[in-house]
Amino acid sequence: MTEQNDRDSLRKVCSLQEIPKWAERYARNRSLPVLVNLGLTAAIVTVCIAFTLYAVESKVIALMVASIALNAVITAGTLYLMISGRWMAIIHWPDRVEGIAIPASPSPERIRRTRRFDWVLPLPVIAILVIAKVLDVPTQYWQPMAAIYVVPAIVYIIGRDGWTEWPYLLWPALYLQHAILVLVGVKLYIGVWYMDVFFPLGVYAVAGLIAAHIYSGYALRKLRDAARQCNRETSDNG
Amino acid sequence: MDELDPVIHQPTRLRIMMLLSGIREADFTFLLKTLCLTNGNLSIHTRKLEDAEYIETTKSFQGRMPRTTYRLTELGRARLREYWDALDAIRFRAVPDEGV
Repeated sequence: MTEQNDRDSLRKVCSLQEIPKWAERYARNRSLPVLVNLGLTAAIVTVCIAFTLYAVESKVIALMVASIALNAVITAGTLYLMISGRWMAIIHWPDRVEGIAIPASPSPERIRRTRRFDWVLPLPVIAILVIAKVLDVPTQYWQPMAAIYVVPAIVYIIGRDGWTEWPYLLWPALYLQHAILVLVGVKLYIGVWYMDVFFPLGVYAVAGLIAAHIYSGYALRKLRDAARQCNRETSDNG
Repeated sequence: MDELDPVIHQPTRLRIMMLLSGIREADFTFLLKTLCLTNGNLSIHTRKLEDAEYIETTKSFQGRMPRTTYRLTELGRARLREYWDALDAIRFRAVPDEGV
């Protein structure tokens, strides 16, 4: 190994040192399997509910029987997919294209420590809703009331293990923005408290997952660029 | 320490080690696609890293598909750190020559 060779190798240092950084960001933000899982579940539940409601409203016995049969078939099919492991295979189909990279996880001790009191987390939400009911607060203000606790709680959940990254913060940020818009008079509510409080929570969670997925795609491009640039530099060096 | 570890110094193996140093583990497909290698090339280099005990390999099945995953060992992580320290030492020596 000559000194000249050693110096040549210095040229590729910069792009090489980008590799672990982007690999980590890609792995930490990869939310596509979760999105596929949610999308599939939502599609199945929507088909079942929509057909059942249609059958009940039509008051046609044959349609009601058909809806019961359809629900039974879909439930049995879903259970079969889950038990046989095919559900996981479907969820992880993007892995066959991109491959799998798993981020470095926090130590089991840290996970045990930070998640010991997770069961307490939903309790303040229940307390806030009870207070809102007792004080007879109009239902449109229940979401902003809940946001006082829910927003910092989600930020805590996202950051507690040091595992997830900033794109997921879109979730609490949108929930907070929703609360502020309601307070300034924008009609972002339908007057059914559980829909007003919990539906935005689910929708913004999906928005956070989509943001993370987009960022993971960007990180993967940067990772491939760094890896290939370094490959080219090596080829240039002979 | 100025001597560069020849196992790590090979460019493809260095890229594999650097990639694995940022995550817990990656599978064969991910390394193949990300580093733009051929199956044979990747197999040869991962075998060499495995022989040196710098990475560990786990073979399993996902459904009916075989899956091979790689992760950096503690030894591999330490050797990679030493490699960069050695490279820094060379860089420090090279600075006056390059007039930087």
